[in-house]
Amino acid sequence: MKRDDTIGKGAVALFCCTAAILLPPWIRLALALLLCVLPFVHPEPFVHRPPQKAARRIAVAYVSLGFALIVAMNALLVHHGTILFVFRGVRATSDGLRVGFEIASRYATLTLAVALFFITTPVDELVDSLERVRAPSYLVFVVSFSYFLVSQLPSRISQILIAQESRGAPVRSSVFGRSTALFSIVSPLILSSIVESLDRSVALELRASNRSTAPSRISQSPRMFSPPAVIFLVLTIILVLGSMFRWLFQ
Amino acid sequence: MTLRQTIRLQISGAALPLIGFGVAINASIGLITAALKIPLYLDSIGTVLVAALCGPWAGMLCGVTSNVMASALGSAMMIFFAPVSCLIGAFTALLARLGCFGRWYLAVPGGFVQGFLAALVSAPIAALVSGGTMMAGTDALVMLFRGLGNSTLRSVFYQGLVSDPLDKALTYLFVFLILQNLPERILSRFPGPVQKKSE
Repeated sequence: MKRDDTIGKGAVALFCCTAAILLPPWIRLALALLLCVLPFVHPEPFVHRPPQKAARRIAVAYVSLGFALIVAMNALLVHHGTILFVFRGVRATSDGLRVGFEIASRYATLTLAVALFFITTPVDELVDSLERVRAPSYLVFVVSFSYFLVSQLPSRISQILIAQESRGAPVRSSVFGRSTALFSIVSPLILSSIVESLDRSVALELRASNRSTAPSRISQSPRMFSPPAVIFLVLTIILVLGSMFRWLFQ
Repeated sequence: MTLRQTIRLQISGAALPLIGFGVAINASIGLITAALKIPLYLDSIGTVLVAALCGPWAGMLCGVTSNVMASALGSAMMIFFAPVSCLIGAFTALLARLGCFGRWYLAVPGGFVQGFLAALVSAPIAALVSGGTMMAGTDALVMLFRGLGNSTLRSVFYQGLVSDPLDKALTYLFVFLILQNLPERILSRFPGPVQKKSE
């Protein structure tokens, strides 16, 4: 799989998510562990810049914490089955542990699959691949424009916060006071967004964005599904059909 | 008008940049609630605004893109809650068509109903994906309900009932106040139900 094979990475994530829902817990856990070590075993499709490495470490730590929390919560809160131990009146049961493990293995696989896809796929690559699979132009525009805005809005929010505080908005008073200040901060943000979207729509219309213009260079390139993408998509379909078959004839 | 034309009408012109802004507002509103230390999400305010101004398809697109963007920005689990955002977009547009954003005493109950529906749809997803553990403060509520002897699904649903209706009612009230103060000149630029009501 190539580094910019977003469709291939998406197919792997889709397969893992489907497997996390349909396959037994031990296979799910094996998949989750595989997803943890995959960037080291097969590094080509995974970007290896420091931010991605750090994000991957954080994701693995976050999922491990979630895994432990889910297992512990279920072990303590499910009161069926044999009691494993009692600590200051709190009981941990075998059934709780089993249920917790089942849920936690699903959670770990789903979260790691999605996290690995998004950590290793920058949004500009995602936009390119949307164009490549001939997604509607408005969808490509919305994804790229909203990603641009997400990086812009925090500075605008902090400017509004400072401005409203200097005008006397109770941003540091009681919970009730802060709640009343919320509207004075949210409304300029939304109103400015509405006005700016009108301006931008005029700019888009001037550039004839509504007309059927010639497709971009990326969307003119052949719609390529790499062999790994095809394999994982076929595996996902087999998994879904097999589960449906088993469910129907059980 | 065919379905394709309806979608094209709702997702074009001024609606297209507004959907982008809606997604960005959904993603960044947490910064405001965190700065003010208020225990609210308001993370669907952009979806509600877009659905009311531009219609159900624009609202659903805004909601789904918000969830994809939230997953790309670090909350990987959010992508599984895309159906909830879809529901919020579609239901808000329906309520807007029925004139829900015309009076505050219609907007607030509308928000409560929306919150109830959102809790109803998100509960099975949260129970299936993570057994109700979202690594957030609401986990304490789920634990409390489970400790009282409820199943995982019921506990997640009850937790949703505690937080979602109030959050959505406030969201609807905010959007109502903003729409009421928008001049006719601006409202008429959007293709959605609120503008049609005011014609």
